[in-house]
Amino acid sequence: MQKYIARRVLLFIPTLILASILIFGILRILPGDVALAILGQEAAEGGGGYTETQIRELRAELGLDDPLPIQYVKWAWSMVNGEFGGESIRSTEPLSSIIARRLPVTLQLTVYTVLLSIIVAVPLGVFSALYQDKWPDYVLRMGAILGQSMPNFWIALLLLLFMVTQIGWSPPLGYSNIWVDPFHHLQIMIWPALILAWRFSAYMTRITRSGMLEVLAQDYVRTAKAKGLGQGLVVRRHSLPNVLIPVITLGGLEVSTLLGGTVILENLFGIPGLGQEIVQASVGRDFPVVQSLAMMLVFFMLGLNLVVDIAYSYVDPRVRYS
Amino acid sequence: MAIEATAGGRSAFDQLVEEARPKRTLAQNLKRFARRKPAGAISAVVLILLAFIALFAPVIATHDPIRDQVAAERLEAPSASHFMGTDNLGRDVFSRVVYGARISLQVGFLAIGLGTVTGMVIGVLSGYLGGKLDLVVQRVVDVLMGFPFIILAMLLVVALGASLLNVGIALSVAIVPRVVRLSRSSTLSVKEEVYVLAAVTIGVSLLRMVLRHILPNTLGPVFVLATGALGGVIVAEAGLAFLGLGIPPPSPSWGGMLNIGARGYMEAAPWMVIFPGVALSAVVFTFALLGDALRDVLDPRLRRGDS
Repeated sequence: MQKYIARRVLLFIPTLILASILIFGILRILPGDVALAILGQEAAEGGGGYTETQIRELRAELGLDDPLPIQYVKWAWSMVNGEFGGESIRSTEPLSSIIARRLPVTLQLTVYTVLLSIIVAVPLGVFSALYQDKWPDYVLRMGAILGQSMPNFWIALLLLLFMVTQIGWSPPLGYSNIWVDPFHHLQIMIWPALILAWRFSAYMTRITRSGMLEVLAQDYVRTAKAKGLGQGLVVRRHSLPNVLIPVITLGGLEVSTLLGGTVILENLFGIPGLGQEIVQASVGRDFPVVQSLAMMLVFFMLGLNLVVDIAYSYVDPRVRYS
Repeated sequence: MAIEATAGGRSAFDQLVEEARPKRTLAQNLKRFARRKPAGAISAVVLILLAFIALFAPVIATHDPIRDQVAAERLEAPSASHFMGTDNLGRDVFSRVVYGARISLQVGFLAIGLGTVTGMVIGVLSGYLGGKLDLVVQRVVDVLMGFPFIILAMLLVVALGASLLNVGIALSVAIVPRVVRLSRSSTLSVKEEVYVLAAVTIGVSLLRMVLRHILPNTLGPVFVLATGALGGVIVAEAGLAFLGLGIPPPSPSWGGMLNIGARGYMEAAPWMVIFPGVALSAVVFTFALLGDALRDVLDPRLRRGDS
């Protein structure tokens, strides 16, 4: 077991390095001069032009004069030592403070979504499996397909539209920290969490359902029924525990798409998380911020996958030896 | 449990079943498909309709989607002259939705075409040649799969600059790792077939081997993946445009239209938000249905677990 964990953790480091090279490579090697792009944008917004000297100064300031490998090593080292690639070009706020401010918000939103999804999806999945091919099953499956095919930002727009025009209530503006004003905090976070959870729980319900169907067909379930156990006990003690393992694993891996969804919904609901920052930075061509935040998001994704893998090997010993 | 369509591990039994299957003509196959999978057939019809709308957009649209701006007709509710109302610049929403189908399909097919071709070439070579190449490709694919889709696409759009072509390229890169993984695993199983051994024995060249013997036998699952992914790519395009990172205005991208609508026009002109979203969801929904039906038809092993 320890050997397996050690191997996975050791493999994690080259994976991170490769990810950082890819992110760096995408932003630097592809055609287009970063300094020119930034100045061009500023000039277009301010209505003025820019000079050769300005370009040269900006390039020096961004460290673009160094050879690429040195630029990379400098950036990679700064990700390790806590500087996270310097500061924002637009606001000159250090990235370490941007991340410290915004990361918890995104994590909270993700946790709310996952919690909501599990609370909803597991019972629904079991229910759906018990009533396979009867009408509750069809209703739930339709809901799941709808949740998966309506783009979440459109669901969000419809929800806002409905609340504003029909109820005359819209989520409060501005964001509050959960420790400062929990009620206000939840009033804002609940909507994106609900919308994200619809899609996420649709997926989780599907896995729970197909897992349940598989387990319910097992011999030991039939034996349990044969010896006179009620359906409640059969489900709770003999079926569900066996289903939860794959549900949790696959759910954990699916959080990556969830993270993509938070990026869009944070922008729509004005939630000051990493997703809002990376989009604003992308629109404003704030390359250091885009680069470092992308790395942070990927780091969390890969880290989460690692944790899920290890957790899985813990509950299912077969994985360790493959 | 069939969560993901992988094509690895075709058993000898599957092989036998496949050989015993009667050969049918295309028309017979289509008829069978329509009878067995009505949902799939309906979605195929809807998509043909959509392609028709995109192709004949200039004929169907009642106004020019960009140039017809009438200041006096701003934010008008749906009426006989503007089926879906007008937007904040007095443009006809119906015409913009119709032209939006064009953009969505262009980006979708561009991204899927580029992405599947690139992914298949890399995947088949990586699976067939194996060795160091395979190792490197697998590591890169693993890492890219760890990137949230929209983040990877965003990075590429930021690096390339926003235009229809670049958004298509960015999204194609984002689906490449999925295609590579799938076609590699199919290649690994095809590689073990007797006819491949026979081809090796008679000294077939690498190019001919890959193009004639390996690639055609890995197409099925990739085709299913591509159909299913098309909807996802179209949503991603809309998502990028919604965030202001997609095809720049005034192009009538559905996501871009939602973006403008969401910026303060929701109460005054809800039709600006409703219609592009309906179009978008309908397209994604039909692609998902079609993908599901195709998967069932082309890969019978998946039928049981997921339905």
